[in-house]
Amino acid sequence: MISDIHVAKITGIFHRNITESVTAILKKAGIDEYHVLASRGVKLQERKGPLGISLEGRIVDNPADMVVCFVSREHGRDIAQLMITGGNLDTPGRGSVLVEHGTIRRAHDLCAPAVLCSSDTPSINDRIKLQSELTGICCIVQRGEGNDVARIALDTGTCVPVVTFGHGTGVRDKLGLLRIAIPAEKEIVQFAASSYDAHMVMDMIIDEAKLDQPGKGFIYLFPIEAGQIDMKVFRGMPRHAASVEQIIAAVDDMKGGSQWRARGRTAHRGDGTARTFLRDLVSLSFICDEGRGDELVRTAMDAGAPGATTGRMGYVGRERAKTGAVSPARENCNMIVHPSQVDAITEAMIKDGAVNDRTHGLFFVSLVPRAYTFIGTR
Amino acid sequence: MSKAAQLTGGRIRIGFRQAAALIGPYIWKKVKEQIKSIWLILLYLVLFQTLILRMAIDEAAVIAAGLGIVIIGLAIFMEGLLLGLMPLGEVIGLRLPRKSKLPSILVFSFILGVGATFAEPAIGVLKTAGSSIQAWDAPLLFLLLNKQSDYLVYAVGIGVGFAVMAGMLRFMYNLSLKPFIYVLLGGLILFTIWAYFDPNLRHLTGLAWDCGAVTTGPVTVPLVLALGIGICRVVSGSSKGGGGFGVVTLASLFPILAVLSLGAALNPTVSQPMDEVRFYSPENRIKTEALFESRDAMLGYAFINAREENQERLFDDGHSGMLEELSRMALDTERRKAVFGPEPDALFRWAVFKGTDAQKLAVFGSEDAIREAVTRYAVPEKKPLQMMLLLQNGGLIAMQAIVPLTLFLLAVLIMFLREKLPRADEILLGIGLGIAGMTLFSVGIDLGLAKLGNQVGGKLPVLFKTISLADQKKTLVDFDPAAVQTAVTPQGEKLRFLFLYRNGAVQTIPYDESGYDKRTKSYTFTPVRSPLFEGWDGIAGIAVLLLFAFIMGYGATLAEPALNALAITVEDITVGTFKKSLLMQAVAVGVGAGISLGVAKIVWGIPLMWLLVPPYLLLLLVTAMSAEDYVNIGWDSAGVTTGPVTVPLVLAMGLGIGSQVGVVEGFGILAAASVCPILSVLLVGLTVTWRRKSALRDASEQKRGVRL
Repeated sequence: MISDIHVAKITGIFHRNITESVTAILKKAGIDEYHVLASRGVKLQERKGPLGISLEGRIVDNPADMVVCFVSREHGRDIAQLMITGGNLDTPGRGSVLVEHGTIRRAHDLCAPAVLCSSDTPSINDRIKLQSELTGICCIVQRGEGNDVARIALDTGTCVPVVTFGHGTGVRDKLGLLRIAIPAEKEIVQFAASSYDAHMVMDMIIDEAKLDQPGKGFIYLFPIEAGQIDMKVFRGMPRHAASVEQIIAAVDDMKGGSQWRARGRTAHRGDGTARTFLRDLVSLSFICDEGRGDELVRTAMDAGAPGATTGRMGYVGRERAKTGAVSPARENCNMIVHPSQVDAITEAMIKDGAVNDRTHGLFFVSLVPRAYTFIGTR
Repeated sequence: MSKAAQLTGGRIRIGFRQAAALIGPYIWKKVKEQIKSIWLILLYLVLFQTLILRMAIDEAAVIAAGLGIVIIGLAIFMEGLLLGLMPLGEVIGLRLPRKSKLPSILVFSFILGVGATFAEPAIGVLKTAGSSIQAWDAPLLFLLLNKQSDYLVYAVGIGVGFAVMAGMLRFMYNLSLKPFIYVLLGGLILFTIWAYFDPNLRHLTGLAWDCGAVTTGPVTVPLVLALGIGICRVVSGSSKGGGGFGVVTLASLFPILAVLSLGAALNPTVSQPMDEVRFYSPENRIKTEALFESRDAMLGYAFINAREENQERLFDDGHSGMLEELSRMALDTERRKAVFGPEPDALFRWAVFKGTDAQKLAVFGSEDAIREAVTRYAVPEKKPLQMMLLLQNGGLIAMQAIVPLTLFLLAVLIMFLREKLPRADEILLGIGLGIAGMTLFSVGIDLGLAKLGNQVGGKLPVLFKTISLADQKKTLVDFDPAAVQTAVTPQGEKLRFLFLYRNGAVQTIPYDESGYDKRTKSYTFTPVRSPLFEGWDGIAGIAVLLLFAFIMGYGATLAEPALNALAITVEDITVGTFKKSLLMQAVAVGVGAGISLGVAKIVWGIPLMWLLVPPYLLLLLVTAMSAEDYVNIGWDSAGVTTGPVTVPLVLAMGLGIGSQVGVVEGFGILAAASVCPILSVLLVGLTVTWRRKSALRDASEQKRGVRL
């Protein structure tokens, strides 16, 4: 069993047609183990109404893939560069790459982070400057409401969001058979915003999706070390000599950062009262073979976790997958807990077989500086 | 989240009122969804009958109740599918490839395929479709639908078994669906063209293609789909595998091959199509008898369907021999049952409606007896509604469809794979709901939809030609010829008519001398209706008919549970990029067009080959141009369409039109209804893919990043 490794989690989000070129370049550099999540990218399409008046953009979906790999921290940026080169992600509209830092608390031996074979592959030397000062936003809502949340990110020009499906476990599972009357299907909307805008966008989402009402959803921020964000929220031909994304990138470069475009932060609700956020939590992600997630989440809940959102992942690995070791069908159970609970929960799950050969589990812990959901009247 | 009060461990007790508050909206939501998918077809049928055909709906209360039961039954069944059957299939799909070798997987697939065919026999459906065939017009077809219908079922079962096997092989080895389609379809088209040149086989092709269309029913499809999806998830590198789709396609194509092969094998032993006279001649007697279960069955068939001179030839003493036999049968119940079937009065009814004068005399013995029989049987008997019997039958069908398959799957999971059933309570509940739902909607369809469909379908030809309403044949007793009046036309012709007082109003009906039977003092006539749309030499009526067929196909498809399940699965797998509503609309439009085509085939007598070969060739072309994902989904949608809602309606319509237009057999509509949805889905796929590719291309024109 592997313990306590500091890693970087690289997430690449792009159109499904691009996946092959990205994975090819990763393979050439020796990274041939990663997870793939089926997802959908959401953009806006311009619409012109009668008399040429611009109407509200129409949402268009396209099939996307999220490629996630864990590498040692020092190689995080290198892998990100590889992905960008492989998929031409420095061109707006193609996709995004995020680098997050975290820790693999415990993992099965076969789930060690990938190792970069040679750090002087030509693509890495052709460095593209990654953005810093980014914060990730993750919002979990009921199925069918994902596009409403995505629209906020799009309308504010923040970033192109990506949506995945999952199901939630929580109080619902304690109701016995009655639970079928409560839908568990969730949509998970993720995107990255400039750190200066993140709070404002978070507030807008809370207002729009009514997350201050019970059972409507959950939203949290997570820190991003570095990344390349796709900000081309509109599909379509460029309208001017330079696109807005190009101008923003150029000014960012001139000003040495993105603070110049901070749009202010409000932590107040419309009625003037302040919101109470949950602060300084951690995200405990448990990745395991399919079929084991629900049981182990129940164990986690018995140990104090409030619940989890579980989504499907595909695992692509070396020959290991073929001999039937780590299953190509995996699940990712994400729990937001207090840092003091991590040990208790992890131990309880391991006792239940979380890192055995049937499960090949991996516990990844990262910071959640700010979160929000309905937590009852005080 | 730890700061909030959390309940850890144990169950939460829920009070009854809270439980009701949870369950109530949940049930209502499901029923509402079902109403949304079925309202179109129901409203359409009712409005068509009342407003356009302008005939009251017979047994309206029963039908209304039946339709209500259909809605509830479908809602329960869908929930059962999503909660129980599909998760069960997926679990097995996930565990099977990792715990067993390829040979066992193939054996399992074969058994599953064969079992599924026997569980959901659609052969009954085809028998109904084939009920209007005369034995001498298409002997091979007649044989396969009656005496040797078991062979037909076996052939279809084996076809589906092989299909599921091939499907699993595809997933395990990550093969594209396209080569399978090219080879299978190419072979089938060639086979069909070859069969066109043999008169017996030509009639069989319609049945063969329809077999393919009806095989996969509302239980099999979601199960096989979930199984495929499960398998694809655990087999690494499955980008070409199609994500789990494609088995339904194969299960629709393989049976066609099987049935055509069966037909080709049996053909030499069966007589060729011939006219009625030669059919009953002594030199063909042996071959003719071979088509029936027994000599008695052949006699019964001849009495009901053949002309009198041919009936006589079956007896050694000709005319007198026949009359003697009839008299004997009138007294001997056993003989009667052997020839005319289990119903005790069948002989007498036949004699009243179809017997010649001599035959009537032979059966009843005297004029008075004849008169009495005419009066007794003149009014068709209304069978009382036996709800319990219907529920029992429906329940039996549902259990036969679901229980053996689920027991088999559970056995494989627990004993062979040695795995626990996850979320067992949900899955078992789901299976129970599936059985209950299927029972209800079977009953509802019989009571409501099929009856309504028969009424509308049977009267459809009135849109473009005069029809005689055979089921409303009336016999007036104690008829006095003096009541007949004479009318004069402007050209000076004389038309005889009589006044009929019925339902509180007086109507005029034309008088035909041949309907008057002097001995029994009764006048029998069949009401006719003149065509509703006379424009453009009757083309207007046919155009309305085709439009009707289109809307009916469209509406019925939206209500199909298997299609619903498929569309939900597609939306799930594609994470929302291929929306459920888009797929349903594309398929429904395709089916509508297909059914219109099928109806055109019947009305204008277009040979089936023209209806199948050109669209399928076009389809091959579009398939070659399309992406793997869409090919899998599109071809699977076709297999899904003809289900418990569409088929009764389509058959009723086909039979109704066919009987009036006078065709040999009404097959082919279902096959046509399967081609067009594939085309529509693939076209949607092409459009979407093209749009996305061009958006991606636009994106590549600009560079943004700053390079160091």
